[in-house]
Amino acid sequence: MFRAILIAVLSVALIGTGVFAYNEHQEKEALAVSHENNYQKAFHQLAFHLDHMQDELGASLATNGLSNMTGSMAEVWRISSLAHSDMGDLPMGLVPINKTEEYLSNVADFTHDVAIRDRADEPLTDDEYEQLETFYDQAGEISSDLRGVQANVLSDDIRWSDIESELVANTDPGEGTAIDGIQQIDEKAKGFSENNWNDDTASGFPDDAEERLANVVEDKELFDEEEAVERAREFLNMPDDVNGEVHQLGDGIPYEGYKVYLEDPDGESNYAVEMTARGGLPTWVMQDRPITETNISLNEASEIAAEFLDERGFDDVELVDSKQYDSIGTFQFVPTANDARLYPDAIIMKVALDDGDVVGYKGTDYLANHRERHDLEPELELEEALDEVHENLEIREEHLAVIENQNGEEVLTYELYGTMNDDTYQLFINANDGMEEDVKRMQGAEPVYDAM
Amino acid sequence: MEGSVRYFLATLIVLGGVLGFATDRGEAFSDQIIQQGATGDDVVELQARLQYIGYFDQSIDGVFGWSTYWGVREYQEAFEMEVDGLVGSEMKNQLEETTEFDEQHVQEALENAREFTHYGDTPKEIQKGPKGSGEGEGEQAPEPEEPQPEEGEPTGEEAPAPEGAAEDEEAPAPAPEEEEGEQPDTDEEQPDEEQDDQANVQKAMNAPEGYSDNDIQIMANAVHGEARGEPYEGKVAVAAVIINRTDDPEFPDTANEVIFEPRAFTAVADGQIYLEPDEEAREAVLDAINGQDPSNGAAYYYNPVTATSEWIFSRDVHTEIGKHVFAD
Repeated sequence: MFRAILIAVLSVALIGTGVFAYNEHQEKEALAVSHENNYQKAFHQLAFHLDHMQDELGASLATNGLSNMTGSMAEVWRISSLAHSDMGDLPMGLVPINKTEEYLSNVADFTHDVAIRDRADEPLTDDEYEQLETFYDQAGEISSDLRGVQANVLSDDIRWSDIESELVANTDPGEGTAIDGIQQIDEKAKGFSENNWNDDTASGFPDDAEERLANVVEDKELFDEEEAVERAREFLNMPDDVNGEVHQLGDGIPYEGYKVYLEDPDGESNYAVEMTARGGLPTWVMQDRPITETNISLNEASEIAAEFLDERGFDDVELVDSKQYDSIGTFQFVPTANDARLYPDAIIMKVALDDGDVVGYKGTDYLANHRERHDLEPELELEEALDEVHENLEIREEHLAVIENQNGEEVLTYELYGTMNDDTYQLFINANDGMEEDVKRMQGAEPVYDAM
Repeated sequence: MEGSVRYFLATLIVLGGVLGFATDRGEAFSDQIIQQGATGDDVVELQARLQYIGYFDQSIDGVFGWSTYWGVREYQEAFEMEVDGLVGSEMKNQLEETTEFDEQHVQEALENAREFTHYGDTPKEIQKGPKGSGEGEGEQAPEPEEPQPEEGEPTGEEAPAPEGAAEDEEAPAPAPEEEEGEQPDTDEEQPDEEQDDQANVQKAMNAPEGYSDNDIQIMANAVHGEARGEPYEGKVAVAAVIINRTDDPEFPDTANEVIFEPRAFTAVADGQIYLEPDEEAREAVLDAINGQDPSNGAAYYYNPVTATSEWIFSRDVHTEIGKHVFAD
């Protein structure tokens, strides 16, 4: 009797477990399928977009009219951006396939530049036409390779989720798989980037602030580790008995550098100071400690930051932006020359509003870019620049400013602040040819959405 | 029933008026110089006072932004001071002479996220919306109705309401222990539709250019998931890697795409990104957005102990912070 009951109870339990397991399995299947569908969509879209992009590139080569050209350039730009975004949706975080993405990015940059410029004034140069042809050929190669991979995926019913699991388990997916195909495409794209149009650095110096800094310091005297600690103490006005710990920076950075950790004399957490090994130029400083109280105003803090820079020989800096985040003040300073604000040389400062200590500094851009500039005389009068401004905009403040424009060139501009319908705008009008280099809507304060 | 309650409240108001309580000028400014970008009570007072005489028509949110800046400059011009957009002692004295500040009205409305304004020629009761109304959008500017003289307004130090007993616009409870001079909320003069330049008021904060507070939150989630237990410098570096990737042609162009790129970050893959980030993670993100980059331009980082992928070790190392190696 007892046994019969036991059997009955256990049977029910077993059946219950079975039903439960089956339901769980169904749910997991459904999730896995929808996960897979997202990957499949991204992949097939990528193949489609690359095809389409090649068609449009071909069309642009054949057009002769300005307006059609603009249309197809804008179309290539749009599709290349979409394709770039598709790549980001594939589980490629574990495989280096970034050359293909770089290729797409280059196509997007190039076509954007060509699409927005007035080609009646500046027609396509021979070099650019050639570049367009190169892009077209490369798009053809990538596209047909990808079509091959796609055919494989379809005929062998390859699942991206499986590939993903293999990658996570760090087993090599092996030859002939979709990943392998895509990696081969990427190898090709690597070859593309060597003869590709890249940011042509008109000014003859590299795009990247760190590389420029490397050029700046290459002939300066070399500091050894002890001198670096000394230099860090000096920069932060610390007594000589403060302990420092030095690390060399890795060789991924274009210049040799040190990172020095200094003990805070007030017993708070350490300061980190990084500097170039040649010349001992401090690139950034950071102290991490909890800052809860607000005892000084943003204005006082900005004075402290300005004085800090002044004492360390940053000449003629002007405060251009200040923001308070609870008990922290962040500031942007730019040096001025001939009344022009030099935005590429900006310095970031961070001051704690509890005791007025400097807790952050970043001077890389200043150190890399600050130099004597010789063309700070505007050819246009301010009034002429104001004529270029939209009539609905009421201009309330003007400055001269050097900025880096969208092509990465330094230009002298009139920096104007104006208002229109409760919004404030910042405009940069080229001071030599009246071109509108940049217009920004200044962001207002951010409401707190989860107000208590 | 409701009618009698209203009647009672209206009587209270009239009584208060007759008793003629002096208008509460609120706490005067502290002695700091207030400049653009500042936040806090001084800014609330500044905005309210500027609004009182019509130099500021945006919502009073306690953040010294562009609209406040232009208001200050216009005021300085009108009162023949140096036009520099800084609010120093001279300007504060001038403001205290020319305007009034009903701190209770303003702070209470901020507290309860009400819509409110602070114009000098409009009775306070109609410059206030129901609780939470400040979260709605409502910017139109019909004329204020029947301006009344300021003196008719009962105000006074508000006794702090007991927890949970905050009065609600819709159902005011005529509590007998109400202090005289306290200003009860009433429907009486509540116009039905959105009225006079209802600004959208809430507490607010500064946000760096180009990022919303929610974007910062998503990045803080990612940083928290990836770099919990790392030193602060390491958190800033992780946030900086996300930003460096958005500028890198080899990666997607927005922080969200970079973060949610499949398999780009382990914390995203295993769901740790959905943990509640701490204040430190947020601060690290702000630092990185404001230009700090302890990774020195790295686009990758990995933990050499747990990294599984071979090729990551082939990348040029920038620096090591805590458990992470940053590389390009």
